[in-house]
Amino acid sequence: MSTHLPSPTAEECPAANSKIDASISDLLSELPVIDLLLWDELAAVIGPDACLLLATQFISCASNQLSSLQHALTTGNYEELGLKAHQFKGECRQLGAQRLGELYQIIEQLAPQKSNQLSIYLEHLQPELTQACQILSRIAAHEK
Amino acid sequence: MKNKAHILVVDDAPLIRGLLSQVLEKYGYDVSTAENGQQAIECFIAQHPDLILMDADMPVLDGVKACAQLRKLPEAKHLPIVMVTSFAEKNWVDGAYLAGATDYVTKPVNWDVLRNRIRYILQAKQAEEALFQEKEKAQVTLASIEDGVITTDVKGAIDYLNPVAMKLTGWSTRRAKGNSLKEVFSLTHEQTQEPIIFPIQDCLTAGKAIVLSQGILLNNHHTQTQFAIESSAAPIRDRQGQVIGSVLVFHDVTENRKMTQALAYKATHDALTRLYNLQEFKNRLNHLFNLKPIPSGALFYMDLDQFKVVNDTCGHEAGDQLLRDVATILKGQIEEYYTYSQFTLARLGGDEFGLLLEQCSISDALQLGNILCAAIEKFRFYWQERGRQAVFSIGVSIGLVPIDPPLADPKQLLTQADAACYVAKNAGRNQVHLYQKQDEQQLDRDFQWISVLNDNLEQSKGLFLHHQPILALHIQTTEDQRYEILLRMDNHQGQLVPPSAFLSAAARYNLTSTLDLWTIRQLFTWLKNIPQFPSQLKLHINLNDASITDFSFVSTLLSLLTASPIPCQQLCFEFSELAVLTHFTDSQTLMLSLKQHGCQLALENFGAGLASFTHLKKLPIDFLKIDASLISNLLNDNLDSATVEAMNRLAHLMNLKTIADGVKNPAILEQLRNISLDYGQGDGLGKIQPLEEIVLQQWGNLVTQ
Repeated sequence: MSTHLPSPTAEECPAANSKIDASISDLLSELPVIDLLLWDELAAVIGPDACLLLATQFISCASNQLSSLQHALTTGNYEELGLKAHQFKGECRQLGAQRLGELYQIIEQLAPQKSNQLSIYLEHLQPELTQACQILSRIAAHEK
Repeated sequence: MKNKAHILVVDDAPLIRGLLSQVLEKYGYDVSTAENGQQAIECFIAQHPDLILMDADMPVLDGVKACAQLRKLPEAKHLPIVMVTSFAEKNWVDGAYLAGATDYVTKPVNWDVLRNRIRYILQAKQAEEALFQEKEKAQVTLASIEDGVITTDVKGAIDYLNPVAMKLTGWSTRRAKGNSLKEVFSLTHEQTQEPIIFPIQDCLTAGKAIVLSQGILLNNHHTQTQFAIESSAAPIRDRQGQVIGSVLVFHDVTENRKMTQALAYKATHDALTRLYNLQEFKNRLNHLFNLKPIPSGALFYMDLDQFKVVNDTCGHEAGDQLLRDVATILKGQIEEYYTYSQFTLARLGGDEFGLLLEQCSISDALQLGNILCAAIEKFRFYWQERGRQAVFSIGVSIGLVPIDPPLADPKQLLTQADAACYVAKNAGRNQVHLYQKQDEQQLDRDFQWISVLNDNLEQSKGLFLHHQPILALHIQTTEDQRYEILLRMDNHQGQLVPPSAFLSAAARYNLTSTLDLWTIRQLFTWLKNIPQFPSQLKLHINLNDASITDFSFVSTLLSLLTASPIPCQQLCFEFSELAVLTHFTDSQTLMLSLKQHGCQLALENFGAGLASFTHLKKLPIDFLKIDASLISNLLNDNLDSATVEAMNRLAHLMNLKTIADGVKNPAILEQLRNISLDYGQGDGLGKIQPLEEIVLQQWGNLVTQ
């Protein structure tokens, strides 16, 4: 697998940053959407086919991730919200989706506080997930 | 461990579970998965994985709690559990370790770190298992071996005792741990009973193995018993070679030592009397001669008198008991009267005993010798068997040699003692004879006699047959004329000597039966050359002690009798009373065989010994020849006279004819006629003459008639 994959373009990044804390927005912007180096290393360990399968699994689970979090927020189940955010955070970080990982960590931390900002971060998840899935789709396509 | 290690991956995130499974499978492991801590415990119980890789924060049961619960399972006690968590905070890390986690890795997982950590942990587990197995083997071995094993630390304090060590010392490991070795491993010297301290410090400081094996007893203060042990200790070293403790190995040799002692006792003692044996006696004598300077002392050579009578009349059992009794008496007397130095009392063989006195003056030795003689003379041996009781008195002849430089060698000293004993015996028995230089001359004389005797026997010269008449005292008859055939020998100095001169030598060198056979063969040869030997002539022939028990002699004699030149009715064989009593059964058997051939039989020397009429009843004899010692005193000693008269009367009651031996003069002859003895023999009745004279005399008689 090549480490010279194209970086996300400016059009692909949604302009939702204005709604979240500026410092967090700055931090997120410094992180890559997907850590391609990590995928290179992973491919070296498990092989390109397994990487393709893994990327596909992530993409297929993405919409479920978001909907399960929104459901927890809507129903006021903050514990469930925190646990899901923790789980997704781990998965994202392990697969190099660092921005998503950071967002999930913020949500995990805000959940026990039942923060009003949770809905803002959940909204912010959608474009980040889309962006990550696009990149992983490209990785998958490239693996093929 | 199996060829492929089995890893259980526990994570609530499906993507992480899948990813970890794929990575670990790629690394060559078998992988199974669980979604939470509860499932992890169930999977462990069902599958027994080699390692668990577990997320810390999970729903249902988190990884830390699951880890703690797993550790409570005995089979999971040593299971490697690696926690995987994104939390690097101290509380999670500490919590994981407190719950029993082996290690942890953080998320996102670095694959190289995970690979190396798992490999290291599994290798460590494998090493730990191998170490555990080795330890188990070592402990089982230590528990199984028959040796006691004690380990100490570098200061000599007890660390461990195996079961045998616990049993022998009476200490458990729990009680002994930390105590000093000397307290637990309490030793005593076998001979001195002094306490001994095992030199474990020498082993620990010098780093050398130590062996302590001779004469050591281990005390078990718990059971108040002692064990003979052999022990050794060796240092235990660490990888750098530094001594870190010691291992002491010992084993119970009580039985072996008892056996060794029993064998040593057997090798040095006489089984019958429990005195020292000949070999040990010689060893101690040799040892004495190896000392510088050689201490003064005395050597006794003791020979029992009349032992054979007891042994042969009452059997070996009685003989053995007599020897035991004598040994007890001798030892008791020596211990009572000889208390100031060492002595060695031994049975040298048969009825011979030896006594070695150290640091003893010759006067003290003589005094002790006389005490021993008196004690043995005083002793009466009672023997009861099948309702029959017998009482015997015995004696001991003692040859005494001083051990006083300049000395002969031990062997010569024993020969001198033997010679002195020989002299004591010949001088009348039951006395002590202090060795004189001429004593050995008697032995030498015996040896010379044997030399002459052998020469004469081989060359058929120098031995001659004589005769002495045995005359009927009351009737003048030519129908019953008796002669005793007597042997004479040329002493190579032109003199003819009687058997009394050389018989003791002949007996010592087992030649008496040879002489008896020579006499009979010579007589028969002579008789063959005399045609029509008068039938009224009866010839008395003596048989010696040794001949009676000599199967070869008996067989030859009976064979000769079948071809006797004269009817066997003209032959009368004489047995001495002592010989008959000594070899009663053999004598009885031979007498019956001779009777079957028609021979007559006489018991001679009657009255010199026991004068037992009880035995007479069991013997098929025709004549009782009363001993010359009684006959010669007949006129001087009323008791002897009465004894002879009583013997004569009893013999007649038993239909036996009596012969008085040693009739020296007409006065004795007259007395014998008065008390009605049947025959007489002696210089007063007829001199000893060459055998040929019988013929001249008979021919003369025939001419006269």
